[in-house]
Amino acid sequence: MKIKWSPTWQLANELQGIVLIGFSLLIFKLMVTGEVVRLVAPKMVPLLYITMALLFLLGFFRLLNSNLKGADCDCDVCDENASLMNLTFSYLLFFSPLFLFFTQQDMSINKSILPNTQFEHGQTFSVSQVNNEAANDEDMIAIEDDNYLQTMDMINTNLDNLVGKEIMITGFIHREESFTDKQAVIARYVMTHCIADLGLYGYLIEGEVNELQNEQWYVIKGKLEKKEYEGQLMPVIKVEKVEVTEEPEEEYLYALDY
Amino acid sequence: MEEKEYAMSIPTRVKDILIFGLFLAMMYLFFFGDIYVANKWNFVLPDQIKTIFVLFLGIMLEALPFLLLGAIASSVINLYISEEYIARIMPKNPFAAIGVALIAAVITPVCECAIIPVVRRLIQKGIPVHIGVVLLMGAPILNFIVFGSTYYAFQNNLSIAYGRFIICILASIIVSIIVYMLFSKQKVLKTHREDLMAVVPINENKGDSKWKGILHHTCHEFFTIGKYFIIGAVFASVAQVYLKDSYIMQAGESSIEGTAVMMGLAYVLSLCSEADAFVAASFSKMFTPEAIIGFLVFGPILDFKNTFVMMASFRIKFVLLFILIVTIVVFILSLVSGLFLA
Repeated sequence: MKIKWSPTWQLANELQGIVLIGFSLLIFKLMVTGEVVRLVAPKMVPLLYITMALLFLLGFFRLLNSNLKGADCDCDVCDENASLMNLTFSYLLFFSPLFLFFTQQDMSINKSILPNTQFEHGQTFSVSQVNNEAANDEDMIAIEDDNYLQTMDMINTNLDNLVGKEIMITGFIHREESFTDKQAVIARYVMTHCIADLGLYGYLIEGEVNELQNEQWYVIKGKLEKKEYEGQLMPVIKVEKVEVTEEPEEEYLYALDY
Repeated sequence: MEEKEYAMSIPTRVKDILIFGLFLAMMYLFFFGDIYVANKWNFVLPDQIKTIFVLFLGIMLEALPFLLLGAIASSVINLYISEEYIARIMPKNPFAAIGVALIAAVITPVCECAIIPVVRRLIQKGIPVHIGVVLLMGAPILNFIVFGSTYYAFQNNLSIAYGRFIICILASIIVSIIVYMLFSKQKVLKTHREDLMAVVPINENKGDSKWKGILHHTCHEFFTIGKYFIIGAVFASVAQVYLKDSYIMQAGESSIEGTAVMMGLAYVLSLCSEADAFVAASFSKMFTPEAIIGFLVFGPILDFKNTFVMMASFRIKFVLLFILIVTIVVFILSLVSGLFLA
């Protein structure tokens, strides 16, 4: 009996087509579930839309034209033959992230494992100097999502002038092992580019903080003070009033948004 | 019929069933993977593995657009920029050529993953190796986006922002000259099948459609680079989780140790050149300025993921020597810069 044979490069081309479509579906799913902003900063989203469309089209093109019909390819790169073993290994590399991704319920992770998510490494964020003076005139510093990092920077640079001011901040409670019962940190996660550079930025709070639970979100009002912690002078909030609050929709702050 | 003509082949019917099956499996996973597979098989990843995977996904998503861009750029260069054109615009004097390459590095806004296939293609088209090296080192740092983010991150200490670019230019010139002396007569590219011009085309279907050529080529390039990128990204995310910074931080005080540690960190973290300024800023109170400069210059030129990408394009010997030279040069220059910054 006569069997029709195809070269392995054609198989490889078709596998590539499927992988490309798979990656575009991966981006699509992240976009639909909204989880994309937990992995990369929002400014990447338009780029990812373009990438998704390109990968999708490229994938179908590759899949349906796997015999290279009509292509002007002077370099012969597109028809390298490889053994089946070789193919299996290299395409397992591409298929396994797809498989892992599609079988996960969500993209939530244990952030304490990440390298930069410890308070003592996250408090210095010397980004901008916008309106250093503006907040000086007000009686209370209200820290919102959209001015979080600017305010933090402002407070760090003008700490001496700001001691004794009222401050209001929203964030979650984070504790380090070295903290006493009266200490905690009110913090936010800040992403610059992608989840690999996620960092923890917050303020040390002192007072009756025993009751506050780790990872729970609170609105905290208090007075700004200046204290030394582990050899570094830093702002400390003396807690006066605490309110439980919901976790905001946008869990992270994005450093490059403003 | 032409069967049996191929050295390595697979029955067409088997291939078609395989591909069709895989496609259906992919669709199934896409629609139902998280509901059925995860629940029925109780397929849950342990905490650490999942964190590594999510980190990997983040790094990959961030690089994907740029990898694709690099692949497209490389294939367009392959088809449209001829060897003669390059020979015409490149000055004959090797040192003048370095200057031209630095200007080219400023106007090519691609990051470290995207530049490697482009440089490989250019070297193949006849650009001298030491010029390619300037592009390889300069393009990720010397562009407006990176300057913007560095400027932004170090507004309180602008000398670091300027220092980063000056050191990068100096380092690329020095490395380029060393490479010129060592490699100007040698082959540095890995021999891919396509480089052997003697090979008879296996495929007789080929026509003259340029856009089809570009698309196929883009796919091919994407997968050649992508394979190494995935390995590198996995390494980087594993390192992020397991190499906690506890012992690293103690080196911050000393200038030499601090610089070495920061450079190592830059290599391991594999951050994109646009993002690393902000990470560096968060270290700026713990480390000396020269260590920060080392981090900012070394990271975009060399890191885990792009070492693997380079190995896809260049010979191992060249890659290793290049890493060695860049490390030494950047290290010394960073230490020297400390004299001016302190």
